[in-house]
Amino acid sequence: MTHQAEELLRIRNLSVTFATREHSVRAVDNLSFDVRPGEVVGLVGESGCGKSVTSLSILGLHEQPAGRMTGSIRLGERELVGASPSELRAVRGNRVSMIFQDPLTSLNPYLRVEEQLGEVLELHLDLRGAAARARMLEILSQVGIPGEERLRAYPHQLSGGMRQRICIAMALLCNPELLIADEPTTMLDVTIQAQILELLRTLRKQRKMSILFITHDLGVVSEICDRVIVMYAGRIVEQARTAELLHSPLHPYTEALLRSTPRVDVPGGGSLHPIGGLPPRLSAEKLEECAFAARCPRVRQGCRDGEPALESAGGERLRRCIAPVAEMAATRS
Amino acid sequence: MSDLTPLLKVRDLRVHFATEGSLVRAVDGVDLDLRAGETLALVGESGCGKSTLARALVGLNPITSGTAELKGRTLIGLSRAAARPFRRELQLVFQDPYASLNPRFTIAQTLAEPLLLHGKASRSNVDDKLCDLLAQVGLDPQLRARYPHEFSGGQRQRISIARALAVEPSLLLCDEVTSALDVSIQAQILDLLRSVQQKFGLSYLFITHDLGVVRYIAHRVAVMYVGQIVELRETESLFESPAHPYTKALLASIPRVSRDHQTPAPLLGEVPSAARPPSGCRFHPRCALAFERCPKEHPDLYPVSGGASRCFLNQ
Repeated sequence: MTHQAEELLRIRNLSVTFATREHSVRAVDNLSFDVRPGEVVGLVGESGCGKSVTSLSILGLHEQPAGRMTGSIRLGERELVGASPSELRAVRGNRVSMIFQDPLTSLNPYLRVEEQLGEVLELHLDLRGAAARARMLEILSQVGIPGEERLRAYPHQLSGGMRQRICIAMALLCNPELLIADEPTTMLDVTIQAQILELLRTLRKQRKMSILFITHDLGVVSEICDRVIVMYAGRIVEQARTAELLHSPLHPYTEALLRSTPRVDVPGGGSLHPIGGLPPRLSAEKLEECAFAARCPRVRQGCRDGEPALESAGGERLRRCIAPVAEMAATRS
Repeated sequence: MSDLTPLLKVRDLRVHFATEGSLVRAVDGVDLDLRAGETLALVGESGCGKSTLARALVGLNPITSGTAELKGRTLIGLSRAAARPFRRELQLVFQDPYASLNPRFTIAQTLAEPLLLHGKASRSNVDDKLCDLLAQVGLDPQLRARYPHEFSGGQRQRISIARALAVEPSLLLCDEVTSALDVSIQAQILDLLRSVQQKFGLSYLFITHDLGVVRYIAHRVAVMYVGQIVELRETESLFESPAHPYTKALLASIPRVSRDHQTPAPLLGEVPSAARPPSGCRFHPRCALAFERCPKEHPDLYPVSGGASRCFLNQ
């Protein structure tokens, strides 16, 4: 993308710390990134890397005050860190909405589809009766559920793919500028996943909506994201345009993720290189070395001398590594 | 691989469940052979019957009809006592290592129980035995006094595998064993399963929805759709030249890192219910290549290179 649009979401130095009885856990550590209007940004990493905490922070959805937030999250002109519950309510559902991994637990099992959609319309748009019904039918047809009979259904009467379509419909009712999608296809079968990704691509194009797409699956990233942020141990380790990241990763962790994923398109599934060991504990103290040093196959002396800074690697690319992959390859040849 | 009697031989196996007003044909006429030392992957989408089939083989689901033999002896209709030796030969490893380990047992207790029950160790040497097992799955034996909650997901899956290996089985039924793990940990577990197989000549019936994992670990692949096998192939032939239209659609649906937004049109519709399977070929309502014969006749498995496919186009 050549034009530099004003960002929709602007996160600066966000840290989220959860205090437990013995120690505090810093799940997100000094995170900064932007999402521009109409852009799909992927937030990628393994369990515990902080990707979901980041997304919950935007909507103020994690437990308060247990999860203490510092830094800044701005949606347009509005600051969300420290916003009051009523200010947040004005943002949630209206300007930003969210879909989750498990569409069954995010729908109320006691309510018919029309009641769940109707509640949103009444609360946010003050729409009732025939007007609300017309809006429901319109949004359902946009997510590929035609006909009125689905409005009468309870969640358990719908398939997993259908339920996720309902969740998407519910999230879109108020025309949000930003959709946060937290592993929305992880529980779905691949053929249904393909349908949902196609739907999200279409909706994004039609509505010029931004999506923050949280996933652990680099294949899914390649299908939908313009730009990708890789997280490890609560921090960003790499950021790049999708094709760049997948074809020439700079951070050894990104490379290791790609090399530990079995490939359907390579004979024998390709060769797998597991990442040994486990991610570090997330304490609130300053790191004395690179967070990935203990597991990094490319670790060298300098990696132990304090945490590397997140630096520009040309254009929008960022990397937090003193010995990036591609540059190493270049020096070797 | 030898052409002797297969380790596991399944013929026309059916598992039907009667529910209110309908009969769910979860597994509906499956034939399978599994050879010693072989990994056969069972793939398909939710509700295709792959887990029901595996659970039926270990006696966790009642078998409606058909035969299943392990080393030439039937697995069906056994009394509890007669079934016990088979329980040893056939071990199940589950998806969720959080739910499948007893939280109130230490790791030593978890492993000692099957060792003692099946006479693989005595009170005097059980500790040595279980330390060996832990070392084999790459865990430090010094951790054996700990409880499951003190381990990560990957470590717990290693413990589950150690528990299955404790009774020296010939066949491991692995039901989505890496699905709950992060990819870096999944790769560790897949490598462990491979090395254990080489060491003990174990066979795996490997159930998964992840076709990347399949290509990495399986020798042959059975693709299931609405209770039936629609394609059974050697792994590389399946991935290089899928024969059945459903397999083709399944492979095309997988997002891959090597492709830049060249997504084919997704398969339309959803998997039909096993309570009301479509007439004729069960895939015909979603198949782009269906013709007049498909809704009328039920296709057999027809031979194709490296296996068989249940499609008239392969006849």
